[in-house]
Amino acid sequence: MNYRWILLLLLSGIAIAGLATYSAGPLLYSPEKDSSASDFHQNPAVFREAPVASANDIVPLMQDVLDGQKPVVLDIRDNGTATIDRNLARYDTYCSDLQEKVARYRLKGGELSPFVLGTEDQRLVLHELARQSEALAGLRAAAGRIGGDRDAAATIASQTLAWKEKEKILLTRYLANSSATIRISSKIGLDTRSYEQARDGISGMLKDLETAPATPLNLTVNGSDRITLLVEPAAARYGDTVQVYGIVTPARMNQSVRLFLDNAPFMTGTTDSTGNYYVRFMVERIGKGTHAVSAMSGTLVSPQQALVVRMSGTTTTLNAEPGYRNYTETGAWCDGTVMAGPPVRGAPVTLLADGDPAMTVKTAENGTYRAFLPLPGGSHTITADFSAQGFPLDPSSSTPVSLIVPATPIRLVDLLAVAAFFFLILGGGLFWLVRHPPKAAVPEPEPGDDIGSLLEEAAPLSLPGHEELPPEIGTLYARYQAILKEQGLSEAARRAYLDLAARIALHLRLPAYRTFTPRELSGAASGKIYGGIFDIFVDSYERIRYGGSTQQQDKTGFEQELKAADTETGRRQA
Amino acid sequence: MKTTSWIALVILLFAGLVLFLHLATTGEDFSRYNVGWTGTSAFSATLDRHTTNDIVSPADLDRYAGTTLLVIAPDHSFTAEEGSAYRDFVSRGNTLFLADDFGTGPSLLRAMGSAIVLRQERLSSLDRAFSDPYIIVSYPSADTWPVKTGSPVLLNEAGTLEGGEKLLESTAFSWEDTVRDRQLGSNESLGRFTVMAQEKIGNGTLIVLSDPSVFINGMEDPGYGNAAFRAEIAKHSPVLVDVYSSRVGREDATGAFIHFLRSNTAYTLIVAALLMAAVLIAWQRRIL
Repeated sequence: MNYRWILLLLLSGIAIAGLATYSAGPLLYSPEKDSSASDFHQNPAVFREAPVASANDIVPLMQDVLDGQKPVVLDIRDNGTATIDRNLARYDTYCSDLQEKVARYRLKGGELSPFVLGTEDQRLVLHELARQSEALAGLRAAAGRIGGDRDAAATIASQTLAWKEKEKILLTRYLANSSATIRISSKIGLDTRSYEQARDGISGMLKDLETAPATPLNLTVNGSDRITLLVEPAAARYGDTVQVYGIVTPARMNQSVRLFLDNAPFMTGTTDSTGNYYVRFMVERIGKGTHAVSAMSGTLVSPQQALVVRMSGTTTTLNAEPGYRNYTETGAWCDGTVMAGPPVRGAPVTLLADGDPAMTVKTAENGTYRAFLPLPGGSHTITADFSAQGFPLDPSSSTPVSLIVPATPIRLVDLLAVAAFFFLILGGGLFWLVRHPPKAAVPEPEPGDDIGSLLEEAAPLSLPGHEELPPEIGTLYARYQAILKEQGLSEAARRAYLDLAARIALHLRLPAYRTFTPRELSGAASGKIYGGIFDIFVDSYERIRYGGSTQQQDKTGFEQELKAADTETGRRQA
Repeated sequence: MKTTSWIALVILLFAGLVLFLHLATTGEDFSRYNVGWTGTSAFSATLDRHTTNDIVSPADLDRYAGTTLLVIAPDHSFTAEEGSAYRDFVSRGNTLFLADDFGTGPSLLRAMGSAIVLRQERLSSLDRAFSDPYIIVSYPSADTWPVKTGSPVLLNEAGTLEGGEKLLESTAFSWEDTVRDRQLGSNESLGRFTVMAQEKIGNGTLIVLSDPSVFINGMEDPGYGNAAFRAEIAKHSPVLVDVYSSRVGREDATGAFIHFLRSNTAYTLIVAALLMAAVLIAWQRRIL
């Protein structure tokens, strides 16, 4: 029995058990890797990299939503149409930012739900009120220029009354959300002073409406079955909003009204319960000059109204920088704007390279455009041209931009192709080498060569199964037997070991094998086909040679292992 | 398979088993023998060995005055008699520090006749550390031991308190997550919630913290003022640790066995002798 291995394992076991039992802390444990759950707490270590949230992420946004209402309300109250769109757009941003954060932190409940829903409804009301303020301003402007037109007067009176009724509803709806919003804001610790001023402004507007003397309404139009039409303003430029008002009599809810521009249909509207209809549009692709606007509902057709569209000047700008597209295509990155006061959206811009039209791009909502203009390497002049065709706008061209486009760069795809070819060849060669390794050259024994002398020392091959043959046959076992008779077991074992060692050293190409201990040589032979039997042979050899054993059991074992080692090393050498 | 291989396998399995038993850290929550993130071994190690004593029965409380008794995560239902013992203990000028959220803390408070009520709902907040709404930041309401203004304390699945004098409270963006869905629900309301309060009883003080998890290893130093808070309590000696009702003294069978082996001097000597014998044998057999 190989007691050394058992002892080694026993020692290892005792050492590990002792270490595990007496170690002051865990050796392999780290809380970050502990996925075990607990009913009592969360493992903070697993959240270490997660973002931290705070009320500071929400409170400033809520304050913005509260404070952002006041300028909008003041604009509506004071008919400040110049700034109302900008203030409303800013307020929209506040509301959307807050809603995004509330959704991200999963706070759609508690007091935040009525706050968010309430302010969102107020935002919609403010948009409606802004639109209404614009409509009423249009009606007031129209009233100053209609003269004795009874249809127009009746339209203005009816529309004004209808808009003010809607305004009352909107103002009441706004105020309905105010109390809850103020209560929640105060609880959270927000400053509600600005919001309360906005609420007071709305409250005052409602009070003014409710206390205003009733205006006698004369809805008499020229005839009983008619449709009226009022266009405000009568003259407009690009980007202006044109509002169209009218009444259909007899009044019916949700009657469809089609609007025609120069006898071509271009918009539709519907009537309310009092027969009023209202639509608005922005002057964009309407040519300059006087246009005829008319309305039709069923078989009723309104008298035509004139809409004069006047020309506006435009400015086209261009910035161009030489560059590449997709790392390979040369050209210029071009961007710029087309403005007519307001931005010109959807405007075709032609890019001219050296005077020749090269490509056309369209402007975005904000009047900007950006495009890559492919150009060959060299010097070029680029111009952006807005023809204004179909627009009530003057054409314009940008200042020419001169630039030098660099030559075609080395194409990445080419580099990749070369690299792929190189690696293909390299890989193929390596594959061939792996599959066809070069055969090791066997050196010819030379005089004085250690390997040659090894060959001389190595015992001839034995003939397995014929160990009884006389010594002159030269098998390991036969030589061992001969020496055993003459010099005893210890010397015979030594000579047998040296014979085997020389044979193994020849295979392993170890000229200095004589400096090796048997165990070191056994280690060097580890992994070879004869390594295992040689290791066992060395065990027996050491018991006889170093342990001085002369027991028959050890002798028999040694001889058996010698035969086996002889066979294995002989096979290998052959 | 050879006999030697079988023996080697058995020894390896035994060694692996011992190692596993030691490294298994998912033991009792709040146990001072649990070195994993749910245990309180780190906090217990900071207590002064010379002035800290275990309370294994309410009867032991009679002997002390001027001490601080830690009752962390109790799981024992207290009787009226036990409650009286604890109340008398506090009245004599001691401090009872109760840290509990979902355990039997309410029964102790009732048995003691305290005005503080522990509500066992999970407190959530937008003011959170990490990405979990249950790991929240609380702020001192007063500069009273063991908290200091300006030194917030991070809580981990805390309950809430009513009554008593406020010492720690959550921010206004907090709510009791009654449906335990980690979000502010329609029936849940924002507000500041008390998480630590104190009450004077006789000559002593009862302090209640609605989260024992501040003492677990996983919350040893998560940032904020937790390390200072734990140190403040640990150094308030003499400290008594209630192992009668608290989970701090709990061990499962494996832990108890290992703890027994570790704390037994005779076993220490046996293992040392075995190791020495093994070394001697190895040396004699020329293995070493």
